[in-house]
Amino acid sequence: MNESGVEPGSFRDPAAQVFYSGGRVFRGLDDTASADWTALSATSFFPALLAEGKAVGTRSIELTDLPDGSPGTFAAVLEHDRIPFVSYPYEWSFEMLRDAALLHLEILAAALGEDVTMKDGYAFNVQWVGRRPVFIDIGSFEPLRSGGPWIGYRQFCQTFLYPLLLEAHLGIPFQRYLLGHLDGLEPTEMRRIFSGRKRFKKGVFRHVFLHSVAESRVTEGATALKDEMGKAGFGKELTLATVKKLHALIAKLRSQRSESGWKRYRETCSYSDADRAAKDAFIRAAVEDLNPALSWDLGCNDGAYARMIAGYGGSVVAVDSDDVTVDALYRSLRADGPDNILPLVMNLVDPSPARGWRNEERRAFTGRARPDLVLALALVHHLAIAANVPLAQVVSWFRSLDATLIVEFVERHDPMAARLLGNKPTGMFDDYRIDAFEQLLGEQFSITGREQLPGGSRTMYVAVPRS
Amino acid sequence: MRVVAYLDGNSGSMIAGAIAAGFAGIAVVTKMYWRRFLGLFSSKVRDQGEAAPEDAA
Repeated sequence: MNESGVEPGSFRDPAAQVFYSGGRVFRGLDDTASADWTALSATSFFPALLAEGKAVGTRSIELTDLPDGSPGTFAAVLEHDRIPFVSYPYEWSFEMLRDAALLHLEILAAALGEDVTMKDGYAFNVQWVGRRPVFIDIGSFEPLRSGGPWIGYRQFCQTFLYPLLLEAHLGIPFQRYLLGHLDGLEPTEMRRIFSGRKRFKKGVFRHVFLHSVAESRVTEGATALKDEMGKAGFGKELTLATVKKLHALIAKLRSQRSESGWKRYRETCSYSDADRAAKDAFIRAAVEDLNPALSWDLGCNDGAYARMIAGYGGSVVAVDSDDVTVDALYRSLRADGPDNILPLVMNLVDPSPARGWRNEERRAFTGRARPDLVLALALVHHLAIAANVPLAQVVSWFRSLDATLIVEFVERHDPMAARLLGNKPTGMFDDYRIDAFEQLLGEQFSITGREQLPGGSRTMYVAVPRS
Repeated sequence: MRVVAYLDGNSGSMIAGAIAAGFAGIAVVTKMYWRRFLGLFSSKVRDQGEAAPEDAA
């Protein structure tokens, strides 16, 4: 998407503002942030982070090189590499959030070693380039100016640690909690959730229970308290100790659901039947000349087709509603690649909405980028039968994505569709027929490819949006 | 005015963050409150404590 203007989510830190101009991403800095950037550039850890791809590609540019019409007046401006597709922590799987948390702590530890700290500890400051987590909030770094504990500790707990504890200790998926609370879970909420003996689970007593008790009893000004603690001897070594303890805790956290999903994934991943071969060939033929820069695989399941599309070089966003399935896909990508697939957890019947201040701070899923290619394989029957979305609306939603569509229609007599229909009253989905689907598709797309798979119950289409 | 941090750290979280550092962090918190306690009885310590926020500004 070739947007211009100030990033709606970039307003909390008055010292640095992200904006877009001419399809490029910039960060305008005030005097303080500019001095911080100069200090950061002189460190040895920051260039190493850039070289390893752990921080977003960043360079200083001359103010005179800014494209015309760029907003604001700044002391200095940085340019960042574009993130292929922006995602949010409430769309990540357990292992993704865990890896993002560990990256954040590794970066903070490296920074503290050179007397630099981070202003916050926010999960939204990590993005993904394919399967790799990347720290993006370069404005977060500042030289250590006083003693006292890390000011981002609370935010780190709320948006990283607490969601991970929910899943690891209680098997509760955290995504819906983070979607509902962009600032994360409060210590007092967590204390109620981890009541009784649950408070003695690993990491809970120290980071949840004592945190909540301290929050309810200590009410004086935080800035003066931080300074006073610095004077009492709380220096960077103790902050480093906090970071190391958090890192050790999070590195050991595991999700039982994730572990069993990963075991299942490795046992059941199979690509062998005849339908699969024909489907593979159909998709390859359709994508061969397309060279999509951004593809969405909606309802990606084990990610087999996302992998196939990734082979053509662009970025692929692989979406599924089952967080355990997405977690297994992420683990397989982390182990073997490829690097250009971003797996996300999302229910397509209830996709991520616009959230935050003015409903603009975090964008809706479909408002972040326009894909070149959409795969909807074995998805339509789930939307139309399991979720009761009228077939006409399914097709018009596909059209709204404004991309070349490869879609699979699963007929009523297919065992998977029959199973879903078996849960519904007889006659409720009489209009779920291939002729009705084909007519609806033809009204909004030019159908440039069609093939029934050998099993006789599934038909593939390539459809190009009508202008 | 120099903006040092835009985030409200929350005073309770400051204490919790110190405790999270382990025994050494707990020792610092104890020392801070001990100094405050002594400050109740000593005008010298109390004066130092009152001067601390100004020193930081």
